Amino acid sequence: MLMPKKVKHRKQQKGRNKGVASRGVELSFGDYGLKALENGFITNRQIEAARIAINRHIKRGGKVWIRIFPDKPMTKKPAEVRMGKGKGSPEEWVAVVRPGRILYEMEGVSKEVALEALRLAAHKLPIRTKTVSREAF
Amino acid sequence: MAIAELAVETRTENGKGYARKLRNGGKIPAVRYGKQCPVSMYAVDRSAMDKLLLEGGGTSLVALDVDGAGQNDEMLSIVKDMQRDPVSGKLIHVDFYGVRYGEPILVEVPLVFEGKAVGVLEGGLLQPVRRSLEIKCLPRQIPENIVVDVSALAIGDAIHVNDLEVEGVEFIATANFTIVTVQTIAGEEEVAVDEEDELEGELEGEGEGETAAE
Repeated sequence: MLMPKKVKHRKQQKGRNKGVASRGVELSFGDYGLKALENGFITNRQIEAARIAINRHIKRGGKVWIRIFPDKPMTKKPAEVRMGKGKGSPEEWVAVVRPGRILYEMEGVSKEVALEALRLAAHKLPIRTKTVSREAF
Repeated sequence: MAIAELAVETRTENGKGYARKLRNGGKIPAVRYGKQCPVSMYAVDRSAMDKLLLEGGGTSLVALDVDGAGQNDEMLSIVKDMQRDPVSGKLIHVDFYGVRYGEPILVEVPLVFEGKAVGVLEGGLLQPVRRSLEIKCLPRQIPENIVVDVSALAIGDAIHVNDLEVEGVEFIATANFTIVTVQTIAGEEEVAVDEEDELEGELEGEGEGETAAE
């Protein structure tokens, strides 16, 4: 699964996630893509699940790009632990996503196959998305 | 080459409040600038602009018809830049660049890949590295697109910018960069459970056992 090799600080504050994306909002590599319509955190497990859904559908042929990277650690306190006594331990990595961000791109498969693969991938993600294609621009 | 026509209105106001009003009314703000032309602000009908872009107006010459005064050579332009809403993809702003017939200009022209590569028939994947190129040419010689014949490409072959030749066009390239290549397709790689655990060992305090996402 995707995660940073090395980080300077193991724990981060939650932060705020407002506004729309300004980077990574256009198709840069492939002909078809999946675009986020909501803001949120996407975990490395969800990114991997969606990638596998795409690859299973397209079988051989085609190329997939993952345009987000989970570089934010999320911590969690163990079950049945009282509040206080410091921040919990790092549990997972998430990518911070804002509306407009391209999440996945694909190339080398027919339009029908690409859109179906992206639809299946969208079901693995916690936010609303839409498929975009190069021909639309 | 054909010269597209586009009706624009002069605007005097600017700022985000005015721009939002314009956009809500189905228009978008536009500016025109150039080497020897003053900076001027316009409002353009969004649907007319979309139609122009669909008909290939993104790279062709555009004659601006300002406030219904008719087109003239003074208002000859190209679409220099466009801004789109990151979520909806709708146009929100357009930049026009004033051009003169005798002066060469820099313009970005899309590449069109023609033919079925030999490598693709052998099971490879045609991988465009660039989808447009910056060229220098006279306004009347701007090609609608640059056609690149990829039919001779085998797996591992590539076409570079120096391989291209178009009459009357100079390619602006700092290096002989790759335009298109044919790659082998890698099979689906499954992430092993062991590998996951090994990677997550870097994080301290993980409690539960990892399971593959698939």
